[in-house]
Amino acid sequence: MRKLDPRTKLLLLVVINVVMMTGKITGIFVPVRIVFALIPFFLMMRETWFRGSFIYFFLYLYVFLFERFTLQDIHPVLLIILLFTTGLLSRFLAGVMMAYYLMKTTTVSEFVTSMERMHIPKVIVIPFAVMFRFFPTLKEEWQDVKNAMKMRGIGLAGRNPLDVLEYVMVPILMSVSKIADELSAASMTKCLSVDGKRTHIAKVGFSFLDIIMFLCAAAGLFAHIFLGGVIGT
Amino acid sequence: MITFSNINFHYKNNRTDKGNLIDISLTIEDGELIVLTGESGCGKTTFTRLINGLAPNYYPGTVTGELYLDGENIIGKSVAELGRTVGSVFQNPRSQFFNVDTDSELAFAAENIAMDPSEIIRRMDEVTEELDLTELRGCSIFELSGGEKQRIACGSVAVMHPKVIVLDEPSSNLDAESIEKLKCVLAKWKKQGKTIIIAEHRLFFLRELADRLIVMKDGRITNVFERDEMSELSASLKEMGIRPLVEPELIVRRSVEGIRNYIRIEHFKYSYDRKTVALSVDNMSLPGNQVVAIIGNNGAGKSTFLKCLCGIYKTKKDKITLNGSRWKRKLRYRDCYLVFQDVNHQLFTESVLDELIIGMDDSLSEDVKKEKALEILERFGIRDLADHHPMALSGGQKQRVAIASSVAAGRDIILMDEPTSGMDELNMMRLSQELKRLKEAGKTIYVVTHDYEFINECCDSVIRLA
Repeated sequence: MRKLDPRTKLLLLVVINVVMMTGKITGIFVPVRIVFALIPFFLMMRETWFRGSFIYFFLYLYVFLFERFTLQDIHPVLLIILLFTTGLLSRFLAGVMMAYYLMKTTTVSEFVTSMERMHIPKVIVIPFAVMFRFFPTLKEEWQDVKNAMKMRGIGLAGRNPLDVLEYVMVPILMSVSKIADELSAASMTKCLSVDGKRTHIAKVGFSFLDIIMFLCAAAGLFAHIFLGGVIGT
Repeated sequence: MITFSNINFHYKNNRTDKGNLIDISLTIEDGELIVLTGESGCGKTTFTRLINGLAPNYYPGTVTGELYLDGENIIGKSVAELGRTVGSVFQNPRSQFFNVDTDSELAFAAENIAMDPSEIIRRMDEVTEELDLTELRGCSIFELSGGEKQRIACGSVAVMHPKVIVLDEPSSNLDAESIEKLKCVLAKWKKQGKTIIIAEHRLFFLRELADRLIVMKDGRITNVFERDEMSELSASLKEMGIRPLVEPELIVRRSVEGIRNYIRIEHFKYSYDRKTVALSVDNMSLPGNQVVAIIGNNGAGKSTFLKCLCGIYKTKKDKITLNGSRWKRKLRYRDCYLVFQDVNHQLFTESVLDELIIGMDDSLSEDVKKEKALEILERFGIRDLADHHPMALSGGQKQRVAIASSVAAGRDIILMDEPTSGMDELNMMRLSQELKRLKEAGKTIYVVTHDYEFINECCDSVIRLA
């Protein structure tokens, strides 16, 4: 199975977010939204993440239908809450899933390779590359700290929220800054520097699927800008 | 050949003399395997940092003297430049990977010096074969154990074909099996004629490989032992505060003290995902009011066992009794206290004193709490640290604070996960004394450890998880 090029993924992420967040939800934009909501689903299915894909699919289906067929005879407050959450989900969910897909399926070296193909300077590429590593690390650290708090009986309830924030942030920040420090040292000994040429063993390049995705994104963006998709036009 | 000639190094922004080097002169021949040892803060890490250039380039300080690598003075050369000939493996397996997957990490350094991609791939395959990394290829580093990460770290160094390899406490987070694998890697490198410099506390796995053992103290080289001198060292090493060269035999004592069948486990199961079982214990009893060592091979679920026992991990349908009465997860939370391998994660507050107070019984008044906390700190010999920030302490001190806070919280059962990893002899002995004192105060201590010297020093019984 050919992998999608990181550049295509990045383009899709941007376009999906722009169209879903700032776009209209009626008229010809109904099919546009459907297509864009289906792209992350399709990509996730392709990775055989069935559980995640189906949860996403049905959640989106619910949100999508709810946006169109508003319930009647319902308490106004409840309706506002429902509308608010569905509105939020319909705008953010696809983008979030796309970002998740991007993070999960792109290795750091593929990302760096494709960024360098676009001649983006290393000063920008390297911090982005480090982010790929940063989020999972943060998750690990958070798990540990959460466990430690639980065990020490420092519950979240009944305490000054600022104190709680401090209890969580102090160990995480300490530990993350230590990791960052050691990681920079280790990377330097592996000859990482801002100047100087690199080679790549990662194979990135466009395939047929990239072209289709690219066309989808282009068409969606075209409709969004020129056919009056932006809210308020 | 590496030659240190009257090297002095002083870290900038360092108020103590910890880690500084004073008047180091030493010649290391090609193909030698040198082991540096000594108490924490003796400067052995700094020694390795001068060779790979991290000091003074990344860790700033002032250097005087000369350091020659193959006849060339390397002081002032950049880390990246030195990286072409010097490979580095570090202590913490969690923080030495730039990439998220193992393949990219293996190729990383070679890519950085713009090596031809086909040559990189050829070398990666060669290293995979040599260091037996096949099953680790193409994995996410977040799925690997500490030992596996360390093997990949070695592999990524080997791809560069370095002449010199420096390792800074590479075994400190590893279990027995992984240490054995590390030893094999070192043996292979030695055979290939690489010059290897290792800073370490645990020495037993290096005994057969080391050409010279160098003992450091307060920044100076105090002793240099040749290969044939090492065998007669055991007794004098202990006096120097250094771990033994031979892994001690486990001494099994028949303990009559303590409470028999304190904890009875009939059914105890845990799995991280729905497929693999990480822990499965049927029928086990643990003694109370003792220091109990829990040993077992890699993957026997020792750490998982501790986390389940103290209630962090949710086990379903467990059948555990404490002193004959049902001991549910909620109660286990209240009675147990786990001291993590990485204590950094369990120190939350701004001062050592607060650290103790926060876990105390809420019904006590602030003054009583404070008084009690100071009393406990006194007992642990860290009263003068009461106002210090926990994160500013040394590793051994942090651990003492963590144990002290478990006492402050009134927990009766203290669990510890690999408490002596990366510890020098002095700190290990101190910890043993503390655990014995806790036992006399009526506490029960369960320690997961691989450290036989430590077990012989303070544990009353040993339980093997299989």
